Amino acid sequence: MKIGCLLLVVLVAIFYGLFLGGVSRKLTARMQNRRGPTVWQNFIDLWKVFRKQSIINHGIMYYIGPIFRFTGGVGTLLLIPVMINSSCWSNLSFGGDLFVILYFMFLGTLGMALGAGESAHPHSAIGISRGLALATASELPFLLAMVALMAAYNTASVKDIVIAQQGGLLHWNIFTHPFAAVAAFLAFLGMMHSYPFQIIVAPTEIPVGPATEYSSTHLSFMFSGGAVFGVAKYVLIMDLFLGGANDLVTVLWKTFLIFLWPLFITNVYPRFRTEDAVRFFWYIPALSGVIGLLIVIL
Amino acid sequence: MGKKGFLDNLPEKLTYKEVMERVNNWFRAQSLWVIAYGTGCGSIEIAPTFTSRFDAERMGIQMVATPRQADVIVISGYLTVKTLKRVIRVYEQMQQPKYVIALGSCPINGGMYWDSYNTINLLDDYIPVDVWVTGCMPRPEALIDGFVDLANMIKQGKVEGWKKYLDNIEDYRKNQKKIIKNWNMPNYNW
Amino acid sequence: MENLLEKLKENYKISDLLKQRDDLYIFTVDKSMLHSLLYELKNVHKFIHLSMIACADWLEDGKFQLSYVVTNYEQQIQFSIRVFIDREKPEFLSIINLWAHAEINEREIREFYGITFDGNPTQFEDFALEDWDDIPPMRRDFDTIKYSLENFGERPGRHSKKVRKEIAVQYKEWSRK
Repeated sequence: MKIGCLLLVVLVAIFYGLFLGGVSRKLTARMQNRRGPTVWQNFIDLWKVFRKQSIINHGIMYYIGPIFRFTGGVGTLLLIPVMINSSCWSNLSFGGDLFVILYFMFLGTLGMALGAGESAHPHSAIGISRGLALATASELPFLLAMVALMAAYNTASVKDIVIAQQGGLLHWNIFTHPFAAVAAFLAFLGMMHSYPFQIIVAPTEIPVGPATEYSSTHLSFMFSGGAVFGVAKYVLIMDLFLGGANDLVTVLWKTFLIFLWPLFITNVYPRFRTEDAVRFFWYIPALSGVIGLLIVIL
Repeated sequence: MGKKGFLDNLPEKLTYKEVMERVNNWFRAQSLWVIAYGTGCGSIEIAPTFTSRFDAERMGIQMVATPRQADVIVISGYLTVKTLKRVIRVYEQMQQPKYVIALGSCPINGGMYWDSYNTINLLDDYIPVDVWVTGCMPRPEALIDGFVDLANMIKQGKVEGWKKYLDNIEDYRKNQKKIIKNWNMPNYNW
Repeated sequence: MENLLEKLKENYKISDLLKQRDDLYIFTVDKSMLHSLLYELKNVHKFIHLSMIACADWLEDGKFQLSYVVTNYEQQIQFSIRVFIDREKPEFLSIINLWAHAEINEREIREFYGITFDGNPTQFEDFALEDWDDIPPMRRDFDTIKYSLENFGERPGRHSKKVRKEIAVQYKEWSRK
């Protein structure tokens, strides 16, 4: 029974992630005064990429890379309770799962790096080194915000943090711990690889970064893995800062609000270099996280 | 782009393979990924096609930077012998099924450079071409018309260029090696 | 500028002086005098910029002509200095010790006309053509139409219609409707 619920959660997450990707392309196009593709475009792309024939072989690590990425995304999602009061949708959450979630989030990027490093393309290596540097830099403010929350509520379980936020709009963590929220939301931009921090992909600068040699089935794995990973991050931020959810409709509109935040920033800013991005993350978001932590401890 | 051609020419006995091929073609026609490689002077017409005024992304066409993930290569304009060697290498690195659009009048019969010692006259001798778009240079509307034609042909299942290349690889190689004197790449690039 | 030209005429035996424009003088000099003339113009008279090295093929006289264009930016004057060399044995001396960037100009002339320059280390690399094995293509006895039709083929039906006449006829038909 539990396995069935987990499968249902993963399928809904893939569907929702791809749908949000299509919505993001449509909204970006409308902001640029043109029509965009249909909102179902990412599904069409996924099918087409899946059915391409592929005859490339670069060794065993090349196959395992996309599977790592997919597993990282699915694993992260399955540890976060989507709706806390329903037994089916609260996944595999347990006390102290915040640490495990942080570990799993890094696993996805690491797996793709290992796989892409085997693909014998010199530009993949550049993409990987940049991506790992950026991931390390953007984890610091996020970690500070999480430690602030953990210290404030004396717990490391997502479910308890959600329960502590019930009781009205002004009890949400985004209002009661504003500095930690600022740090987490700015670090969230780096984790989502949206535009000021998109150096890991940098299309046509180094051809699509780590994913250069991948095509057909591998690419479809990475695509859907990316979609699930995105949804997992939205749900995590919703649980930590926006009060969690009790039914599906609340999940949908709260994650949609969180999804709009990187979308609006993406369409305005150009791309930072890696040094500039790292310097940014260790300046304002880290400072804000430290202030938030000090407010809680002292 | 409508459903033109999706239900045309149905054979009497529908096998599973036939139905899946039609479904695959329907998806492929709606999401064409073009490799961002401007080979000649026509690449100045590709850039406006993908920006706001003549939006090509509403048909699902987007530009990717690597041949491993691309479906379509647009040969825009004349090809010198030097560029032809690189285009052959890129074309063979693309994964099946793949399509070629020839833009301009230079790939058709040499165009205004027909008497030059450096540019090729007939593109069809070296790589298989599916859609020809005439003009010198064609406007972005003409290029979008070419994409629409290609999508309709894919839905009807009439695009056979990549199969023709694999079946007649010896003839194509003979033509290519006649003008590319120093073949210092692997014999097959895939 | 006139006294300068008079002085050069005595020292270097200049012939065929032509004042093409107010700021452009063209003259011919013997090929043994060229390097000392360029040295003096560059270091003494401030013609410090080598603008171009051009080449022309005099097929009937059996000569190649090289034109060195030097510019004086203070007085805005250009000299175009012509030198004739033999077409059967096209060899000349390089000027890269005066202007280092002339290495690339001479490479181009070597590829398209076949003139070799002593002292230029990179002149046998490819400039624009890769693996070219015929005679240098800018010579006048190279038939480029024949080469193109033999090697690259021709699409049938190319010459069957007069294009402007076709367009005029069709335009009349469309505009009548």
